Amino acid sequence: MRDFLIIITAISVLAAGFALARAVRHHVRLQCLRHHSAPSARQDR
Amino acid sequence: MPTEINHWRDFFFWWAASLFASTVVVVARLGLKLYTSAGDPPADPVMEAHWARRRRWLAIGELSALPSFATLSVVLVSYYKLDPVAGVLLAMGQGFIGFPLLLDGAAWLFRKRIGMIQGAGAQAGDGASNA
Repeated sequence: MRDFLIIITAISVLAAGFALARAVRHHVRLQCLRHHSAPSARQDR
Repeated sequence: MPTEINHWRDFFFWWAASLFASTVVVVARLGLKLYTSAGDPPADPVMEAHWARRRRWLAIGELSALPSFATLSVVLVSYYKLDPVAGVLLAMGQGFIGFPLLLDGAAWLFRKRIGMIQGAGAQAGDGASNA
């Protein structure tokens, strides 16, 4: 039972961590795109 | 009502109850976050793709953390001889706090690392938890 628990918790934490990392990656990419598009928008004006 | 979890069937019952309770809380919070206060998607297709993937991975991350919430609460009940109902409430609390706290912290660290922090509160309202 203890092994089963450890396996379930480990899989769950790893999956959540992986998804978290992916979400953060897309969030940062989005922030970078916004950051880079803001000055060009100002230049266009 | 048993105050200890000894048999595996009791354990599984309270694990399933904790899982259900935390699922309800997490799904409610995800629904609020992704469909009410998320704002409109960006007009640019590249940014829109990142926006959609961020939402998807955020939801997957929240949902995949649920078994660990349930296991943690039941293990705490089992080791500290708490009432099993307290374990269910604990799982709900973990679901309520969830991963956004970690996600916001990680996003803040990433922004700090690449030098995108422009003072306190500069990115307020645009955190990952707003998806």
